[in-house]
Amino acid sequence: MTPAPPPAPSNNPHGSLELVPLPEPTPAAHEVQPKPEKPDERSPSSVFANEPTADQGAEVDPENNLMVFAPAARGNESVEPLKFTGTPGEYFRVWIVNTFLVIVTLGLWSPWAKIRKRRFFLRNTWVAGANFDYHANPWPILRGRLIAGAAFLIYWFTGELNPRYAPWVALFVALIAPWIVVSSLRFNLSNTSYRNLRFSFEGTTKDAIIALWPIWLVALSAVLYPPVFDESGSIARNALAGLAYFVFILFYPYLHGKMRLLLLNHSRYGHAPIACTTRLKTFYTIYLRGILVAIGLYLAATIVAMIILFPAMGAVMASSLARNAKWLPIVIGVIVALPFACAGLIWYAFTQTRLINATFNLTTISTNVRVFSNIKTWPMAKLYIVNTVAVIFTLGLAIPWAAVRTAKQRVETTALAVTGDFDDIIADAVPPTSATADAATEFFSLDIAL
Amino acid sequence: MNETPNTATQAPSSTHTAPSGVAAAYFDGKSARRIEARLLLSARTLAVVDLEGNPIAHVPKDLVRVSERIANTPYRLEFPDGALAVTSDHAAIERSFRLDPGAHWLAKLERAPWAVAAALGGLFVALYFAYQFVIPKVASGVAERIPREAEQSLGEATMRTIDGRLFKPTETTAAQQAPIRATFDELAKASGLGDAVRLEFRKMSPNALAIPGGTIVVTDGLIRVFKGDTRLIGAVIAHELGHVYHRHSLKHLLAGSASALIVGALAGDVSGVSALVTSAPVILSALAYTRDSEREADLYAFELLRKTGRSPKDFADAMRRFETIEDCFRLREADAKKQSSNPLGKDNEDDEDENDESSESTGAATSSADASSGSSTPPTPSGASKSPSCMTDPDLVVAGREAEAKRLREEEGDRETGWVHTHPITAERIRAAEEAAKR
Repeated sequence: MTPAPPPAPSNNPHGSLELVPLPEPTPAAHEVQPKPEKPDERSPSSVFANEPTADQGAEVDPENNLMVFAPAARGNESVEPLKFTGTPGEYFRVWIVNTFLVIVTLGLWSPWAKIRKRRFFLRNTWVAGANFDYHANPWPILRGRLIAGAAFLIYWFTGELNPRYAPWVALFVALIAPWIVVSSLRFNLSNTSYRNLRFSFEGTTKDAIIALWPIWLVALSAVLYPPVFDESGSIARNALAGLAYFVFILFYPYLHGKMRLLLLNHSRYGHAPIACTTRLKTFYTIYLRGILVAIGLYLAATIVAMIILFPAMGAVMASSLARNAKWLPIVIGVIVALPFACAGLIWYAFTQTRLINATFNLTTISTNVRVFSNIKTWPMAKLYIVNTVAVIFTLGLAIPWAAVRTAKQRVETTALAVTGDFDDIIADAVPPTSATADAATEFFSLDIAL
Repeated sequence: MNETPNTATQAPSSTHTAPSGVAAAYFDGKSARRIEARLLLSARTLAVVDLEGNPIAHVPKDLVRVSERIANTPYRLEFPDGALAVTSDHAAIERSFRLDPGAHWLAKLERAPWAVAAALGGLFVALYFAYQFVIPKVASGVAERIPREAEQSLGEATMRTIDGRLFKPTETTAAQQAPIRATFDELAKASGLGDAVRLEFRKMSPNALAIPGGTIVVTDGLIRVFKGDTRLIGAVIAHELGHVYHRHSLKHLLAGSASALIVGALAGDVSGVSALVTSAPVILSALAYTRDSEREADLYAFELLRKTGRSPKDFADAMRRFETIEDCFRLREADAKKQSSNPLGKDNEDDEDENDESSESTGAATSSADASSGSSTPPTPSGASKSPSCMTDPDLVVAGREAEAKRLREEEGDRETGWVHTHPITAERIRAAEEAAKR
């Protein structure tokens, strides 16, 4: 069965959803079974035996979700919305038991916990009648984490204890960062599967260096002009001390964008290439808009704090309650900080949702699968604010609940548009990889999640 | 017999109904194709057929790998040739494969309410234990093993920052400093720290700090409130030497980092949860650690004072002086309140708090109530500009009003926290010092 020819670019009111013509998939090494004719069989809302149903906790209304994406689909495409079937109750159990084990084993259990948690989220993510899975072997992760832990201690002792050396440590980290990023992507992707085919990452360290070179520039600036601010020094000197920060901010959209494009454009599902045609300029546009939004938000937060909160908290502090409650200043500190925390979260939601939409909506898998994303700022912002408040006031017990809510929101605002079906995508050979880099990434919290 | 009512959407392509067996989806691993299938499980074999009954696979059960169960996600059966069957019929699989209870112990734990409750309780206990005992002990142990020289760089950076923000150059003369330096040298020698510590003078409200790396700072304000009495100042210096000896600043740094790490690891699951969440627990634990450190430094001071022929009573006297200053401020405030419905009531409160950071604060201080400018008395409508300053002569104000002062002090309770209080003068500490003096 020959793959459908790539459709011509169209004037789409939803934005420039042009499809870049993809290379023909390499001919199968074996005979593909001829598919029997089954007219009308494909229906996105058909419920197969293993499809998530309402009693499995799927709260979403598939019809509603479909309507959101349907207008953007073309005639011969069927829209497959993603669904998340995990519930907070289920995840709480997984989380609490595994977190307890991690604590009592002083962290040695963490690779198993990580795998289990990731499996929970991936196995509860469904699209087109199948779910995802995670296959990592815990032992390489454990070894990797022990090595990364040792490296972190060295970093801490040189960087924290001797602030003088901190820029050098940063330079070293920047030098090895591309390798860490690539190894981590390779490890995670090759251990993720859908319909029993693995994903893979074919980017090389060289690709990462080409994409992420500004990191070296930032580190170099920090070494040349250490970011130590001296009140008694000259303005020029203090300005130079801020050079590293300035360079970082200038290049942040570039780095973020290049990181995403690096991931998407060098990945495969089975043998099928994944591609994303979002331009770098888009990242800058989104971030610049984000800055304008942020200015407005923080202004609003300042007004709220000054007009409402400061006087109110002042009254509370002067009252007799202040004398007896030892914890009161802390609580007040948290309350006064809340408007600013909200502003920050809304800003984050704004930028994040726009970026996700900008990348996903221009992502294709093979020649016949397109990705749709319809995530909106305000629902995500509300989600984050409620999560933060809940986690604070439940002393952390709401963490699993927050994680599931976030996952559900992010998964269910995504869909695939498939022409024909998945049958044409075939397996590809996947080389083994090193888990050390993966663990190092998590320790240094370089978040490369999509 | 039709097992799946959901196949209504399928176009029937054969005349016989779907075969019985466990409903599953089959993925051969060579392409992304999904085949609707049924699993026929016998005692020793597993056969996979499609909906028309055509055989797809047939393998012995021991060669099939059943995945671990996670919550309600489907079971995944991996075949030796790399194919996969996914089924939600948990009961059937568990029955047929007679899954060894030991094999999936984790899933069983996660499903058992008693285990979840135990994990919940255990988690709190473990975290409490970690914060109260493990982290402080480990931080102490590690801090002891780091050579003092290593703190130099950190100390220099800290001094630079504080000199820029909090301190101004001292206004005491060398003649005024000499007796204090002599006391300091004597105490430093007796402590065995010798060259590892040095004394600096700075202008600020009454305070004494121990900076990482062994620098001890005594402020002009402190000298003023103690009226240059080296006995009292020496007691405070002995306390600061206790901080240096026990490496408290380093321990706090380590403990804080450890707490931050743990919180980060636990909260790492969720993106979009604000930094508030991670910093609040760290701040809370820092407060607890400083309380213990203060007690340790006090005990060290008592020992050191005794060793140099002085007495812990000096420390008690220094604390009492601060207490008197506080009493003075409280009396002043009460007076001002009586004068009018005082809108400046809060200002008085601020002054009290600022000047109240006695000798041992290691936190930032608001220095608007500058001791040397003498403007520390809150303005009263009655314009009592000739009244003695609470900073230098509090006993004059308190004289004759001790009972009232005591009552006000008790009303206020144990002021463990103020705006930036890290270690207040408490009756407990004074008592401990006087007990030590008796021995």
